[in-house]
Amino acid sequence: MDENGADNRSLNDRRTHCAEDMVQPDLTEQLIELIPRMRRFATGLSGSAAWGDDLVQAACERLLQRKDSLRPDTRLDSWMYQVIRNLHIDGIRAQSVRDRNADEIKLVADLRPVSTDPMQNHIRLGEVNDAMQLLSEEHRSALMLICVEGLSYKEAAEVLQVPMGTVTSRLVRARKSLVEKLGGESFELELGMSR
Amino acid sequence: MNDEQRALISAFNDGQLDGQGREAVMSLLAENAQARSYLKELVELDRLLHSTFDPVEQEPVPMRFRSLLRKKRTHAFRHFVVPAALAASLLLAVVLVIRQDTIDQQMREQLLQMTQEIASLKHQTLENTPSGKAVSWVAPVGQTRAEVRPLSTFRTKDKRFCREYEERLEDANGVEIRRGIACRTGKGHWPDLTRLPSDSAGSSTADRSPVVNL
Repeated sequence: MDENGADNRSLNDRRTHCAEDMVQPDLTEQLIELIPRMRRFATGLSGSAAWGDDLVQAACERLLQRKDSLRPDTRLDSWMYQVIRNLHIDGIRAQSVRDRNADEIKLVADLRPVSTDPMQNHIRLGEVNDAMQLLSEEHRSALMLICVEGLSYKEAAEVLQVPMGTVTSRLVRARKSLVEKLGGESFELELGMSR
Repeated sequence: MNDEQRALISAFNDGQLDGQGREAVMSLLAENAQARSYLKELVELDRLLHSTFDPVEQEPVPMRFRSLLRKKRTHAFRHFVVPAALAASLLLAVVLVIRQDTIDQQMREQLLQMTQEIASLKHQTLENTPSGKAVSWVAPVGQTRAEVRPLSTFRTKDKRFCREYEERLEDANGVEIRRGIACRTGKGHWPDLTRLPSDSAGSSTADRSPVVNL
């Protein structure tokens, strides 16, 4: 219980930080601060660091074009998450100005070996990204926003533009599906090792 | 365990429950091994997701974003600067018209004074300073700075003393280095015999042979 309590406090801290991301006069400074989180979200969503960066760049450009029409109470991070997701759904990849070929499309985990200790990475982290890409976009978005970005269900519902109840049930299904994609038995083994 | 219980444990894991909800989940966890196993599964899943994607967040912001935002910020700034600069120009024009005579007079006086100071620096330095040693002068107002360095000394056939020197002038617009030869016509008076082009000023003084045989 203590462990979970600590985790909950950590999430709350992150949400407090999110709540400060209101649209202020110095928009570009706020945007620069947000970019690391947006890149993480876009990478998880698209499965590729390069595609993720294209999505974030397109979202930044759109924000700067439309900054005058933003309401004062607009949450910048929520707006960016939403635009990145919409751009992804709309197939921004095909419109990218960058010329990519198949060789450049590398999964994020292939680029970033996290640990040399095999016991710490019984399930290779690349497999997590691979498994994420096998999920539906709705499930992937829910997992990224809540489990990785630390948004509350209410905040995620606003980004995804669905009721909170939908977010709750979607997240349960997304987690179940991800465990299945990771290979139920392997994941159970991993759980057994970490006990 | 049913879907409703899974949703409850999921919300518990994500910190979304109030006190009553948390108590309900804790009771469930205490009595149900499957519930405990499911919670461990969620915690492990979150750990794996963070381990996979957090490294992206910890990378430095790529240059493409900094360039994009810097460019946009510059453009945004220009929207303010252009009208502000226009207004400032108009105001300045009015002030200039009113104060033109005064400013012209002040500028002329300052320029004349500066020229005299630099000329005096050259004369005094050539009169009193050995070759290789520099003497400088800094304008009391503005950023103008002058330095004179005698390079060598000669005697002409008619027994006059002449000195080659280097003059370095620096102001807000940059630095100008020139070399010249001045000959003494009286105490503390060293008019130029010649001034060499500024583009020759960069040559090394160490290997310089005597400039002229006068």
